[in-house]
Amino acid sequence: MNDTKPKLLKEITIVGGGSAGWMTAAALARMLPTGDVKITLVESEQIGTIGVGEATIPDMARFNRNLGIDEREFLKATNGTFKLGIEFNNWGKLGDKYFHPFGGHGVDMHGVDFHQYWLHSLKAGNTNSIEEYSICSVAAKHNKFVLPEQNPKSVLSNLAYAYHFDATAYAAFLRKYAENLGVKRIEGKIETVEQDPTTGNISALHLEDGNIVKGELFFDCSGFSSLLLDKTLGVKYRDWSQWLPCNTAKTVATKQDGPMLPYTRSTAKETGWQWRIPTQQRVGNGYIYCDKYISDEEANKVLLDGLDGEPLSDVRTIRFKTGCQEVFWEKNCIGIGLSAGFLEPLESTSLFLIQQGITRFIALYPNGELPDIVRNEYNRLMTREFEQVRDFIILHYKATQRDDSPFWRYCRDMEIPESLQRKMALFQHGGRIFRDENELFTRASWVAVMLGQNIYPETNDPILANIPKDGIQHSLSSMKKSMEQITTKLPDHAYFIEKYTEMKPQSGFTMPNTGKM
Amino acid sequence: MNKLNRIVVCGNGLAANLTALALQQTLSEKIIIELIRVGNQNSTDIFYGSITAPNIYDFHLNLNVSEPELLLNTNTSFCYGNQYLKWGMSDRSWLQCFHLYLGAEEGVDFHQYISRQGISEQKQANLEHYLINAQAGLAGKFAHPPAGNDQHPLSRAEYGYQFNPKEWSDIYASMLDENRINIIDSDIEDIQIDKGEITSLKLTNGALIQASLFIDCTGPNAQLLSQLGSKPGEGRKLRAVKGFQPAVQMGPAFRRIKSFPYGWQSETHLRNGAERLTIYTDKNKAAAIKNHGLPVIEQCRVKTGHREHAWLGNCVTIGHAANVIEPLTPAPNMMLINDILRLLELLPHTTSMSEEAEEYNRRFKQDAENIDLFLGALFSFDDKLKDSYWSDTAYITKSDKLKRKLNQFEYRGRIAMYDLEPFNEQDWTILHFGMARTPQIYDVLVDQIASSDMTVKLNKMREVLQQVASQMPPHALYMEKLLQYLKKKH
Repeated sequence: MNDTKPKLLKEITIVGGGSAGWMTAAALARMLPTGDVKITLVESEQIGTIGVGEATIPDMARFNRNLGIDEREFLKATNGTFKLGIEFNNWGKLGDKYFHPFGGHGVDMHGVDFHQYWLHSLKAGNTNSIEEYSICSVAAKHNKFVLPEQNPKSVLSNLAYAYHFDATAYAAFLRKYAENLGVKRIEGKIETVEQDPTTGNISALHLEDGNIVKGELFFDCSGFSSLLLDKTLGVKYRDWSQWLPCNTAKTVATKQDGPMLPYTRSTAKETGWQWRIPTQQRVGNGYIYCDKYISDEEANKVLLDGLDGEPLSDVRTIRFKTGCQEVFWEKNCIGIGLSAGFLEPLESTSLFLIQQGITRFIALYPNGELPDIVRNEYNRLMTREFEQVRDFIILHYKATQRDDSPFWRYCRDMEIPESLQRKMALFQHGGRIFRDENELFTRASWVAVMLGQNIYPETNDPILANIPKDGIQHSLSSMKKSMEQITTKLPDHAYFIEKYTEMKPQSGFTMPNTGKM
Repeated sequence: MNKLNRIVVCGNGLAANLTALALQQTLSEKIIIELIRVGNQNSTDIFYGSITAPNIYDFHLNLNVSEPELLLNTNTSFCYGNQYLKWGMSDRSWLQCFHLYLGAEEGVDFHQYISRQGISEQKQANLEHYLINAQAGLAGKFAHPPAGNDQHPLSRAEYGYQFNPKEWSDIYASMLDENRINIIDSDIEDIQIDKGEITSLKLTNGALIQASLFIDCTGPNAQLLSQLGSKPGEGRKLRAVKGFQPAVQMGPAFRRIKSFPYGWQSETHLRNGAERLTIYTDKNKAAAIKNHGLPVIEQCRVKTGHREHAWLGNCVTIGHAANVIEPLTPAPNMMLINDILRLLELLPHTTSMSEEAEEYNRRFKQDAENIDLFLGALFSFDDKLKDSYWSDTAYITKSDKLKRKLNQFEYRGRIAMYDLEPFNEQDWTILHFGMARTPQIYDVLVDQIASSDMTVKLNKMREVLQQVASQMPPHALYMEKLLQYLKKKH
């Protein structure tokens, strides 16, 4: 090339291991041009990781595919299981139960959304819930699983899935992957961060052992401490706790006892909610609550009383403040994971936000000058990402009829962002969902939660009046029947995993074993 | 709160007939539809332009308007896009064609490799060489994309139509079922309003018309909505004259646009000849009319821009009544389709319609602003003429969103997109290259493929496209044979 070739980034330094750090390292090592950039990750075994995630959304499979990771190896390495959606208990009101499936509900007909047909059919006496028209819900209910089919005519083509897995094991898996691709890992605790006196850019990390690690661009994956973005560069935090008041999590793992469910369970409690995430050998449990309404001791008890297996360790407490950084990329530092922001894992979006932070960066991959134009665009895109996820999570709290505790009364009565207010009002009025183009949550997801939390539209789509009622009823019945029939033939979830992980990896996959640097 | 039971569409032109047809094909017979043919919008319909984007095809199919029907009953021809010739009286000339995803290599957008080539060779990169419909269109060729063969280069080419708005308006009108739609030919004498809603229309024929929802398709003056206090958009005043030059041989499958100091002139190649449209400002009327050179068959003067609210009370505006867009791109027709689709999606269930109106207005505004971005990008260049047509465009180039888009491209060729833009990523890519915008640097990930390897690949691709284009039939011949076939079949 001649001298018009842009000045390239030569050194990228990642601070912190864990899911965020190693996902970043692995993706950069895989996707950046071979040999152009030196990637170093600094982590300290003295500092524990939070282990966010464990439950994911379907985009996770895409991330792994882009890295060339075979699904079977991934499941084996991380004790992974499949996930077809989330079961929500006691959210709309005590005793309520609904399922948020990953795939859609039914089939849209004549240009009208399926849920409009279902709503219409209620008036004609249909007593089946909308979940009974979702292959993910029906399969999950029967504890069945199979991979989706490619044939668009098959009911199973509507199946979408994600994973439950051990996030610590995933980080270890990705560490091996990234190191094989030439990422250099440095063990050490950061003592001070050196900044360029002129630009304010981070220039080096001084470790306790005296080592100095330089870099041109730094990824802050240091977790809640946000060592670079917050503590060094002083980026301000956008506090969203007025909408998402929970601020503490208690977590504990239990033995896998009973069937291996292909879904996450989220049970609303008096002052928060409890999750249950089944992996192959254990079940991850956690209770998220607001300490304004319950003491830590009481919260411990709520968590332990809600377990359905024997705890494998002591209960761990994690404090957090919901929100995100005002900017995700400041000077020469990008925050990924908890250092960028925290949204409670009610819809399993933590790892997704990490993934988006990385893929947005790669799409905008800058030259060595790190120009404002790239930084500003990155911040604009990531801010939108966080706000969209935030709105969807708030919906679960706001759309409640629970009044059995001050916590739920606060949630029910609180003011919400205008963007969510508009979505809720439109659905309430006529069952309409409008999403932005690149919004993460699909129409089916919004419908599942709105209806699941008892927001029933006041009126029906007038276009439906043109379609004979008998025809609608017939179509719905045949959809339901075909889902039931096919589900009976599907393998049990645990059996599927056992057989699937016994199979050899697909051709073309290998854990990378040649360094590039 | 009563159920929506009667809808009245007011207007007598493309927007009114298309809206009435869309309602007829979609709504339950329980809802009464009336079309009041108010005035005549044929002259201002010039501002719907004379080309459509490819999305008209599916929209038409949903209304049972088939391509054979259009071709057999009108002088419609095919359209690969707009050719801008020496745009802005500069060296910028390109065919702004409709194209599917341009593809990627090693996860990097294809156009980035073209950028690298241009930057390396220090000359303006030419994307047109790698667009099959640009190659075919410029060679005067046309053929439908091959069905079921997505490996064929032509499968990436999309097409719209070159059309005459009056002919299409007549086709839509002919499909209205008078047993379903009550059609009244009358002007409006008086509009009765109560609490911000239209209660009734008194017609000049003496009839009093009541409805749950009024749809205003009366053109830029928006006869109904303006009575509810709506003000026209804040654009600029433009004049248009249209002429027609009969031709024995049909022209190419694109509309040609030439720039002049007074504005621009387009040639639309219909089956029976070329329609010439001249757009200019008041100050340059004499020069424009002199250069138009054909007898004037239609003319009008409008103010462009969109209203703040397209839906007030129980009255919603469609087409020019809501937004007049300079017909320099397919945007006017795209916006008309969007208006109708938006209305169908948000058709109120009952007489309580404030939620629908609010959402409609939000999305209308978003669509209008997004369309203005594309138009603004056509006027964002430094060496603009001082004449009023060109100097008056400053207002449309000032948006921060547009600046961000241009900056992102000019920095490193990135196509920044906003939600639900009517013009897609390919449209923007082709526009930037056409406008000779050159990124300062290219995406560094491009270097995953060596420049020399990519040059070989690009040369090969260029040869293949040229070969495919050379083997395609001329647009006129293709149309002739197609019509022979369709006439036999129908």
